[in-house]
Amino acid sequence: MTVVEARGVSKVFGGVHAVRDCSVSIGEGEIVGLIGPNGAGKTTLFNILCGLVAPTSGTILVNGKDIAGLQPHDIARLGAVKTFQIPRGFETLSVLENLVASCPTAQDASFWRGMFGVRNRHARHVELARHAMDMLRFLNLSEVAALPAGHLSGGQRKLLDLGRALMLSPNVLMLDEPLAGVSPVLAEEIAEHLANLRSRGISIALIEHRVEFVRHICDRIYVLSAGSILTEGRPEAVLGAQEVVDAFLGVDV
Amino acid sequence: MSDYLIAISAVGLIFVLMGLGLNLQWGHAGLLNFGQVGFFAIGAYTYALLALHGIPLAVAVIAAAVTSSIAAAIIGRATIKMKEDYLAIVTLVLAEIIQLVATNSGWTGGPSGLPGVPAPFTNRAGRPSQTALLLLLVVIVIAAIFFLHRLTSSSFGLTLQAIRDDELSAEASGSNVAAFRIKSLVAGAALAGVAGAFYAMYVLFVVPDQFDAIVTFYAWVGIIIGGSSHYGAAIGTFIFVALEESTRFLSDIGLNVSDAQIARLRLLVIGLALILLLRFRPQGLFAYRRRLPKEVREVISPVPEPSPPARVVGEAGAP
Amino acid sequence: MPELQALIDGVTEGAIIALAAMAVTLVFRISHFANVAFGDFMTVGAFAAYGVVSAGLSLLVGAVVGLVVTALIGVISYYLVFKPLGHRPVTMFITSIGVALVLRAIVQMIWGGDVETYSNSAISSFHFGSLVVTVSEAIVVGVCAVVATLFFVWLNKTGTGREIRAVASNETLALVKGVNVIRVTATVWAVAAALTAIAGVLLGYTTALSPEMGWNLLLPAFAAAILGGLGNTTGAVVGGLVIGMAMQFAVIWVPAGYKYGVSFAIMVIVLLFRPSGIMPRRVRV
Repeated sequence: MTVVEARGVSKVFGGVHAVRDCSVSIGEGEIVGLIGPNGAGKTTLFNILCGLVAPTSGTILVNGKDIAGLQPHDIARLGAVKTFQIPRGFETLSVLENLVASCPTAQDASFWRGMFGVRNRHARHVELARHAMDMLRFLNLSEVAALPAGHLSGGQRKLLDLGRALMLSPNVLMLDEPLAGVSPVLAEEIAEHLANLRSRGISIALIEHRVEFVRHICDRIYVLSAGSILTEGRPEAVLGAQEVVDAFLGVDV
Repeated sequence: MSDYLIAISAVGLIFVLMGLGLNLQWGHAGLLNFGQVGFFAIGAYTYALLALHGIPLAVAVIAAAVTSSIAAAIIGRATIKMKEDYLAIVTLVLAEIIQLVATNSGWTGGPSGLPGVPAPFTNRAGRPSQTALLLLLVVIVIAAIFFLHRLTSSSFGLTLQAIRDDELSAEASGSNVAAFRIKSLVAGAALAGVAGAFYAMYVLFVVPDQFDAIVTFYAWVGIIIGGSSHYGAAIGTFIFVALEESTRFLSDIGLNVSDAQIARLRLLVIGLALILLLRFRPQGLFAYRRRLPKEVREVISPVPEPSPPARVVGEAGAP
Repeated sequence: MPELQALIDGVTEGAIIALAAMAVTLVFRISHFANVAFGDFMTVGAFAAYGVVSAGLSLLVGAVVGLVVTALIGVISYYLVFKPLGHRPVTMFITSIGVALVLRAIVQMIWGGDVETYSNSAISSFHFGSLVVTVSEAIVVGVCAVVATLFFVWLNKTGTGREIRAVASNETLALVKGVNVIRVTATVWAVAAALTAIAGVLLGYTTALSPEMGWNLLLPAFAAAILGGLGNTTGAVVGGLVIGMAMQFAVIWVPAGYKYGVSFAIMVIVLLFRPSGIMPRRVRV
């Protein structure tokens, strides 16, 4: 089953084709990588897939639904969640609260219930806190649960980002350079987490520059060059292809 | 003397209601509302018009909250995408428009406004009891703080703080940021509307001059002094407004200053307060501190099991 | 013909608004916040001139004094109040409200709260058919035109002007290229304050002086600046003239009390539907 499908997506910025007629599909429980030289349009295409940027033309379906015109928060609730290249988070909230705040549906952040709710006001909150603690244990962050997120190290923030994305129980994770600025040890850890998530049926789409990581973890790769999809397929096939090498070296294809 | 205290306190508490609303909008939802007096005016006129037409006073107060809420909902939806400083100017201007309409419309009584507004606790001679009104205000302010605290310590409040920390992430996590902001604007406006109704009740007439932009600035100074916690905003606003109001009576205690001079001094004080506070103590006196509910804290660090009694080596029955 | 008369009156008021809008937009461009104190800067300039005139000197001398005093206040407020705040537009905006109130209070403390005028001489005017152009209106438009022209020449043809444009477009880059950003910013503040002083004096000259005069004109000035695109000084001039004329036109049909409301309505509409202003995107001076 295809969880994310993009057909004929193009994006024009002031006369420049950042993305040109790209079609991408991501299936259930697979890890798909998006690679390409700088300026190839990877981030733009990614942002379009996540619904943060509207395409000039083309359709994007997330879990079967067309996301045209939907707000980011609606798309997140559809099941596709994105993390950012530079980790973001709620700096003044504690790590645990970061996770709890990242799941407003379960939290039922209703104005009226917040003000006037009587029965089991905290029941859901406690349930969510437990869920969040499980997540923190999964990510080896349980010790810092009460720490303000602003005090975390860069690597911890990356993990927290992942945790926050997972709190929405997505079936698709869109990771924008999950390994940017990450130490080799942490990269291993993240790779393990991703494989773990894949085994649970979660699909992952990621942009990455570290070719070894991509080769190691991805089931399929799309190669983007100058806004178009150059080729697509399994890592071994794609990464050895001459045209891909040329694209990365800047030789005109 | 007690009459002065009652008068000062009543006005102080009315402003506290406005300040509590403003604090929710700014201190919690990050909205730069510089038109709070506009909602105050809508509440005052709503109450006055309804009360003058025989509507029961309690209903008139609720109606005041409703009309100011509706106005806030409309303004909120229209301005939701605006950057902060633009929002500040727009709200300032909208409040000016409201004052203009009040001054130039027949049904609002024009520049002379609406006299003879009915008030509760009126005795048979037609004199309303200010003391009773003050007590009612105390109850309402306490209730407001109580419910506001519940709101901001709930998930709604947590999401508000998340939005303040990182709006983009909150949106990406599925929170409809716009909806949260609009609801906060509306709640804050409702409080201002109720404050307006009580103001009409207290001074017994409604006149466009009462709704100058300076009123909004009073509330802003109050919440800046007090900080983002609800009781802090209340204390800051009350003390500031009470001090300013008490200057009205300086001539009565023998100080030979004209009303006009006092008014200028007040203006100077507000201006200096804004400049100095923002430079040296922008967070105010009592910043809001979020505390997780006890049950949630226990999830993070469970209360440790009592340790089993120490076993003495060599005792019979050792494991 | 009321419409044409409205146009003439509108150009006069619009010219004054244009000067104030230029000041607002200049400071927005260089310090990146909306300075609400400029309304009361106008009042200060007008009253400083009044002080001089009351001492028996001519309005021209008064205007120069007002200009200098206001420019000084502008520079002082930059160094003392706004520069230490760094780059926080919200804080600076609220602080500027404080500055506005302080200035208004001081003006009233020195000169009282009554309405004043510069002189009691009869107003002479030109007549073109049924159209009336008073001498003062002509002077106002003339002065504004001269001032605006001088300003644009200064901004575009001088070295300082170039530095200002550099700082406005990219402060860090300008700093790296050796521009003394602080001195340039202070200069801009001085010039903006001077513009408000001229606007204030002209306003007092054509109408009257009151402690609220500047604040009353401030929001229409903001409306003009926003209409022309915040940061765009040419736009500010265009915006000022448009707002001035629109207000005068509107009161042909709408109760006079709503005159300023017209500018407010325009501001709100622009902010809702075209926040970048009506000027075409290429024009950015």
